[in-house]
Amino acid sequence: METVADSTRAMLVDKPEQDASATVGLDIGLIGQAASLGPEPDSVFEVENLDVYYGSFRAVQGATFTVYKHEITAMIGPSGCGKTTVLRCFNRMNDLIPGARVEGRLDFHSVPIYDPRVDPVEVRRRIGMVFQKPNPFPKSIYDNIAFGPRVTGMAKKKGDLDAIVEQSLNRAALWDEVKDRLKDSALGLSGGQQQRLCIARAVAVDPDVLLMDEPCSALDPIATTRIEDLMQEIKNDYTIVIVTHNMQQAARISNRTAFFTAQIDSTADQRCGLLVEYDRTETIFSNPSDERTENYVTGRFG
Amino acid sequence: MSDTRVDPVGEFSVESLKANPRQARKERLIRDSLGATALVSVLISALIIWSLFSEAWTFIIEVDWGSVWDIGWFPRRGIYDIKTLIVASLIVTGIAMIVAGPLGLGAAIFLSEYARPGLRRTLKPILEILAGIPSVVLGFFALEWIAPNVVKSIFAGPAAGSLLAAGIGVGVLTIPLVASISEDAMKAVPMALREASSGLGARKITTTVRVVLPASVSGLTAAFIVAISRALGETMVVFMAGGAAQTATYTHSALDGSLTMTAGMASLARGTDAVVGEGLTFQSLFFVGLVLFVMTFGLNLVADRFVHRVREQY
Repeated sequence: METVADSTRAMLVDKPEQDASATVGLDIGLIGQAASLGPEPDSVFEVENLDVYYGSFRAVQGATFTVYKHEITAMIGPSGCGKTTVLRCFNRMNDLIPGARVEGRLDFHSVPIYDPRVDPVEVRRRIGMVFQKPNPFPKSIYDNIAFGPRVTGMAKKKGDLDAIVEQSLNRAALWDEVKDRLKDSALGLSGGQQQRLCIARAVAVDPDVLLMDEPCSALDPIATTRIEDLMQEIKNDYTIVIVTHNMQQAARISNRTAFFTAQIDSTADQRCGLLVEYDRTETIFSNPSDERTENYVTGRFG
Repeated sequence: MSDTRVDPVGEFSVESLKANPRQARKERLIRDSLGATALVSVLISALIIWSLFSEAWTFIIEVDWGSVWDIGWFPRRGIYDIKTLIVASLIVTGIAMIVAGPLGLGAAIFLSEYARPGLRRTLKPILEILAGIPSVVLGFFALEWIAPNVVKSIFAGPAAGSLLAAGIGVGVLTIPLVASISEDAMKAVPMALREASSGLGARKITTTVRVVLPASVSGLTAAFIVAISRALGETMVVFMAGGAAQTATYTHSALDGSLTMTAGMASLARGTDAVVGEGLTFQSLFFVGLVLFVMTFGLNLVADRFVHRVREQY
């Protein structure tokens, strides 16, 4: 328990303003609105003492960290460390699993999204998700993208919908490859194209945040590179939280990294996910403060 | 060390790899007897179809075709109006589907998408018990309860048997079939598609209607076709509650009593010598059977196609 408190303290010591100028400086060059962000990036998610249970099994214990606006936040760690579980808390996706329960604070733009008055559907309209395996609907490419705008009532006219579809596919760098076959089944696309389609589908509802659950784990290296490039391009408009098994990927693309591990809960004899350290990605990979993080990122463990 | 090992050159040969002759004989025997059981069931099916065709053929050749398109089904008077039976069968099947379609599909959606695992584990066996109720019990229920309480009080029809009472009874009988096959088809839709839909801000009903149902449409169609073919072939309920005993005048009103194809056959086949009537009465039974067989066989073929499509989808 002492180590939990230590790592929590280590995370809280992290001062976002130290590095904010560098990030914002880059942003100003790319988008005009960055100036309004001020010197310190706004927080999007504030997580404090988050516990997640599946029935009586505690999957994650006491996670505390903050996700900042227009950054890519990576969550890394060995299997069973609860990183996907935490990711699925951000858009209340765990609600779909019977018996899943969340304790602690999880604020989205200062709104506690686990407040009983909050409708998870409204949360998910603002927080998009891309899954581990590409999961296009067995519908046409067009209908896949148009699904979200249709069900959320965003697009009233056919012309608006066409514009959203084109814009979203452009966003996901897929438009040129599919513009001549929008009516074809999405299942005919390659794995990498399907995953970019899923990203396009997620951005079509104009979310604030994109959650990505190991989005490249089912893809070959070339497709992976394309997705990573894409993430760099769209992070100016979206806040991205990504779970990855691939440490190099986290090092390449993310601004901040959260390292999770699984510890044995001696009282219940169960494995429980634990956030060990959260910091700027450079710090996590070059100068981590926790020995477990160092062992993991240098390949001595996990 | 070396003498504990078999010398590969000296001992290892084709001879040493030969099968034990007793084992080989046993294998052959098992294979042949299993093959024989398969052959027997194929032969029996062929025999049934042959007997159906040969008697029906006699009817087709010898019957005066004017009597096959007449005022009703009076086989003992030589009037074999097949449309009376077909129309009654279609009415009963149609009513059955109006009952079983929404109820079965609704139950399937609830079980697959809404029920918590514990509730589902309780409800599904109960539904399957309904499928195990003997049709003679349901026939009695249709005649004694549906006819007076539904047909008479709601539709102002007869309190005794009618096509409507029989149709509702058959509908109740096919609810579990529709629910069970539909639920299997919907459960086969990958969870990832539901998550994708929820992740885009779709409500549960939206996910169900716009993702799960379209993705399982071939399985659902198969469920309905199997149910239609079951309803067409159902005999006891329509015989007991259909409101006609041995003969029927042509009608297309569900509130009248009439004979379906199956009920017409059952009434002819009752008892040992009852079938032997005038002229082609006996053969007419096979002719009706053939028409029914062609219809259900065709439906099963179509259903098979759809089931194959659902298997290929994901």
